[in-house]
Formats: sequence, C-alpha cells, structure tokens
Amino acid sequence: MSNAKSTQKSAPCHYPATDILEREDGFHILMDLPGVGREDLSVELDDTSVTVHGKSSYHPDGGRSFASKEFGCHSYERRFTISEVVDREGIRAELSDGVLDLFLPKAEKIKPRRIEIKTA
Amino acid sequence: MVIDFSPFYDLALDWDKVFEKLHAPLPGGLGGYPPMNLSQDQDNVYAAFSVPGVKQQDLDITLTDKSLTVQGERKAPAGQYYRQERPMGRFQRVVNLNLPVDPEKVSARMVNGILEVVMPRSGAAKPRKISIETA
Repeated sequence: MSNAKSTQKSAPCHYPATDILEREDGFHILMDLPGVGREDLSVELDDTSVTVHGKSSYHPDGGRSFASKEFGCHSYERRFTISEVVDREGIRAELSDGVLDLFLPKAEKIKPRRIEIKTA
Repeated sequence: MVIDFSPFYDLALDWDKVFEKLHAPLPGGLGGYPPMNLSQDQDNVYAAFSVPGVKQQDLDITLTDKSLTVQGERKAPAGQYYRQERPMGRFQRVVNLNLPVDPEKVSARMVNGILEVVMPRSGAAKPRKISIETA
C-alpha cells in the first residue's frame, strides 16, 4: 500500500473507465488503463473488495513542444466490492493493449444447474 | 425555475470529469475521441492517441498532404452490462499538419493501448541555423 500511495502523489490519480458485465460463467470487469504495463499494475484482493492500482509508463519525452495534450502519464486507482456469489479462488486478471480484464467466476453454488429427471 | 434538493436530486455534472479537467495539462484540450497528444521537435512530428483495447487490425491510419487521419473501432464485448463507461463504436480523428512531413518515413507503433505515429519533418521544413557572415 505504501508504494501505491507514493505513486498517487507523483501523478494525478484517475478513475479508470470501467465496464462490468455478466456472462454465463461469471463477471468481467473491463478497465481502460492506457499506457499501463504489466509491471506497473497491481490487483489486490481483500475480504470484501478488489482494488486495482496502475501507473502509466507513457512519458512524452522532454524537449518536445506540444500543440495539444489531452492525456498523459497518470496513475489509476479503483476499488470494487465483490459479493459472495464470486468464487474468490478463481479470480483471474489479464492485461492486453491497455485494457485490464478481471474475470470473477460465479461460485459453484449459485450457478444454474440442469436437474435430471429420472424415469421410474 | 425548479430547485430540487431531495436526496435523489442528481446533479447533472460528472464530478470525475470536472476534476480530471482540473488535472489536464491544457484544460479541455481540443476535444474529440480518441484523446490525442500532438508534439514536435527538431526532427519529427509526433501524434499519440489513447486507444486502449483497440486491435491493430481495427486501426486505420491515413496520411495525406495536409492531414493525418486515424480511424478505428472499439468493439463492445458481449454480455449483460451492469455498468458501461468505456466509449465504444467507430471513431475517427483528423489532425491537420501545418508542417510538411516525409510520407515515406512515417512510422507507427502501439504500446499498451497508446498509438504513436512518428512523422519525420521533411528537409525543407526543418529549422536551420543561419550564420551571419561578416564582411
């Protein structure tokens, strides 16, 4: 945590744009983290929530003059509360092209099940 | 005028955006999607675009005499949405270049969802030092 706090001071902290969607097998949290590499990203799970910290490694070089600057080197932080329908052991995170995909599988007990009918 | 201060009164303001604008280097910028940084130095013109999640094959970069166009599409993954904040769909952004660039040597690369196009300035447009001859 101390590491995350120090990054917040050095760069403005942004709330990354996030989609949350449900598929049959579980939930996906998709987060836009442009410029964030694997080594600058941390996903922490505690009792009730999952917290994502990231820091963009995109640094426009010095010595350039900017005509427009609409994004920059940011740090990102966002926390989500997870409910008990999530199988905590099965949470997976994948980062590709600046998008983090957090997969939260549904716990076995709440998955829809087909009940077989026995014939006598 | 109706003023409603009920607890359900929802200010028509996106406070996150307000604060993000306070942090932005140039407030507001030029607007448009995707966000763009346009810069130059002695040798090159750089245009960087923040396009997280866009695959290389869904991006189309066109360079003409006076402009650079970036087109693409962000595809929404299938599923039942509880929250959708990420912009989706087709986008296009046109950048006017007021400097001549060398179209043969333009390069582009994608790193972690940031596309950077490097356009070398063509010889005639490079700033040159002119020495003053003494008589």
